[in-house]
Amino acid sequence: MMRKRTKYGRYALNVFAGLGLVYLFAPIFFIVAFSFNKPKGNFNIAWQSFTFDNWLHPFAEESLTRALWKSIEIAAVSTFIATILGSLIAVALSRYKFRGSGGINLFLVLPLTTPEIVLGSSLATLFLGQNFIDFGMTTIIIAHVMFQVSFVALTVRARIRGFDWTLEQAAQDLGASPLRTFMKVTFPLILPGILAAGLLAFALSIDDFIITFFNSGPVQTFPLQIYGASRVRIPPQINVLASMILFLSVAILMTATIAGMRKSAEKQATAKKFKLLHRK
Amino acid sequence: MGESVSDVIVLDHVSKRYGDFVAVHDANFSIATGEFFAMLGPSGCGKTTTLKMIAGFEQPTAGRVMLDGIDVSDVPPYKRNVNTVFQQYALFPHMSVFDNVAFGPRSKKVDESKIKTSVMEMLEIVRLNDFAQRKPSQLSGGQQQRVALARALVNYPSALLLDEPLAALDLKLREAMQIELKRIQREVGISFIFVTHDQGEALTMSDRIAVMSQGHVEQIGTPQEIYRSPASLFVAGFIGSANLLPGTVQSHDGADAVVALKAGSAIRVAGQASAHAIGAHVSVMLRPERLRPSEQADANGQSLQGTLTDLVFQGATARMIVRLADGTELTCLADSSARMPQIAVGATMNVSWGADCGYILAGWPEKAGSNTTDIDHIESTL
Repeated sequence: MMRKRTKYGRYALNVFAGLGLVYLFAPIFFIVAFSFNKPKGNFNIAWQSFTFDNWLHPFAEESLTRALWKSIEIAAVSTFIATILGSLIAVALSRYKFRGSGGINLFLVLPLTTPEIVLGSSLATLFLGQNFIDFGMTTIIIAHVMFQVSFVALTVRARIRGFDWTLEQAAQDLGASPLRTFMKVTFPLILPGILAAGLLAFALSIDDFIITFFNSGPVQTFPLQIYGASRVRIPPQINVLASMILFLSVAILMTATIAGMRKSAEKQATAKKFKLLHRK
Repeated sequence: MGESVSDVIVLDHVSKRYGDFVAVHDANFSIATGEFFAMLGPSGCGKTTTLKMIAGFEQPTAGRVMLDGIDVSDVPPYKRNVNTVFQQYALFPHMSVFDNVAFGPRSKKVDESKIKTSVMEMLEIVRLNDFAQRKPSQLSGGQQQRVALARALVNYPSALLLDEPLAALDLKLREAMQIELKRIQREVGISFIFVTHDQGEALTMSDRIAVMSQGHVEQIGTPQEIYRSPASLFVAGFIGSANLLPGTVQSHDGADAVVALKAGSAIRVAGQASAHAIGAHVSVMLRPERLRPSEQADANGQSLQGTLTDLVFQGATARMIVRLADGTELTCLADSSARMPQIAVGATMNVSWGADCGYILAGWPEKAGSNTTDIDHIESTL
C-alpha cells in the first residue's frame, strides 16, 4: 500500500515537473521554430512553411541589425565600466572594515529592489534638468552602469566571500608592492568571479528595456527596435537574431559549467590519489 | 640592554595598544644572528602581535623595531628583509610550487636564470625538488609547510618568522617537522623566530625562549634556565609541570633558606637565602621528576609525608599522586626501572628530593600543589 502510494507520488511529481519545464521552454521553442517560418505578410505569427531563408539572411533587416550592434556596443562599454567599478567596491567591502560600509551595502541593494520604471523615469528627469548632456548613447550607458554596478558588486562579493586575505600579507611579506600584490595574487584569484559578474552585467544590458526606454533619446537599441517595429511588422529576422543570442548564451553557460566540472573532477582525482598513498 | 653588532632584531621598549587593550607591553629584547628564538605563551599573550610588528603588519604604538641596526618601525612589510611562514602557509593556490618559491626573487626583479638555480637549490634543501611543477593543492600538509619554508628562505632574509608553523600538522608529522626545521635552520644559518603555544616544541627546538603572558615578557632565557629557574609562578606552571607549595620564609641558614610551608612542615631550599627576605610569601617549586618516593622521611627535612592516591605506570616512568595532610596534591614522576618501595594506593608514604632540587619563587600560586599545562601528560592520565 505504502509502496503504491510512493510510486504514484513519484509519477505525479514527474508529470508536474514536466509541465513546469514545458511552461518555461514553450515560448523559447516557438521563437526558435518561427525563425524557420516563411510568413505571409508583415507578421511572423502564423506558421506557413519551413525555410532556411531567414537564417541565410539574418541581417536582411537593416534597422534591426543596426539596433543589435548598438546594443552590443552599449553593453560592451557599460559592462567594462561597471565591472571595474563593481569589482573594486566588492573588494573594498570584503577586504576592509570602514565607516559607512553599511550605507554602501544599502545603496548596492537599492537598484535591485527599486522598480525599473522608477529608476528609468527618475534618471530621465535628472538628465532633463540640465542641458550639457543630450539623450543618446551617453545617457544609456550611464543608466546601464548604474544598475550593473550593483549586480557586479554583489556577485563578486559573493564569490570572494571565502577569500584568504593572508595571501595578500604573504605576497607583501615576500617583497611585492601593493600593486604587484593585487596584479599577481588578488586579481588572478578573484578573476573567475569578476568574469561571471561581467557576463551577468552584459546580459542585463543587452536585455534592458524599461530604463533604456526612458533615457535613449534617438538611439534605438535591439529591444527598443523590436518593440517599436512590432506594431507595424514582425519580420522573422527577429526570431533569427533572438535565437542566435539564445544559443550564444547557452554556449557560454555550458563552457563555464563544463570548465567548473572538470576542475572539481581534477580536485577529486588528486584527493583520491592522496587517500591511496596514505593507505600504502 | 645589551645591544651588540650581531643582533639581527632589537625590540626597543616596544608596546602595542588597541584602544584600551594592551596587546604587548614594553617588549625589550634582542635576537642574535643564527639564533633559534621562540616566543612562547598561551593564546592572547601578545606573541603573534610581536611577530607581526617585526614583519611589519602591525606598527608599534611605542618603542622601536630595529632590523640589522636600522629602525624599521615605519617601513612597510614589502621593504623589510624578513620573511614569514604563516600558520596556514598562505601558499598561492594558482601558482606551481616553483612559482610560489620564485615569487619573492621575482618581486625583487632578480635575473630569471639566477632565480631558477636558487629556487631549485632551496627546493632541494626542503627535499621537494621533484614537486616543483605541482600545485599546492596537490601536496600534503607537511609538504605545503616545506614549500612555505622554501618560499621564505629563498630570499635570504635577515630573520625568518614562523607563526605557529606546526599547529596545522598532526602529532607524528609535527615531531618530524621539529627535527626538520632545526636541520634547515642549521643549514641556512638564519635566525628563526618562532611563535608557539606548545612548551614542548619551544623547549626542544629553541636556543632561547621568551615566555609571554598577557602582553608581558615574563622571562627570556635558554630552555634549561627557564625550566630550572623560572622567573615567576606563571613561567613555572607553563613550562613543564611543577609542584608549587606556598609558604613563608622562616629563616636564613647561611646561603640556604628555610621555608615554613602552609601544608605544615618546614623545608630547606639550598642557595636561595639572598633572593628572599625573611617573612616573604613564597612558593617552593619541585619538579615532579626530581621527587623520589621513599618509605622513610628524609633526615635533612627534604621530604614530605602524604597518602598515595593514584599510581600510573607509564613505561619508563611511574606517575604518583600524593595527597598531603592539608589536601595539597603533589605529582611525583619516578623512574620505573629503579627499585621502588612497595606502596599500595591508600598507603602513607614519603616523597623526598635532593638538597638542590627545590626552587623558590615569589608569591603564592592560585592552586597549591601540582600545576601542569602539559597536554601530553594530561592526555596520558585520562
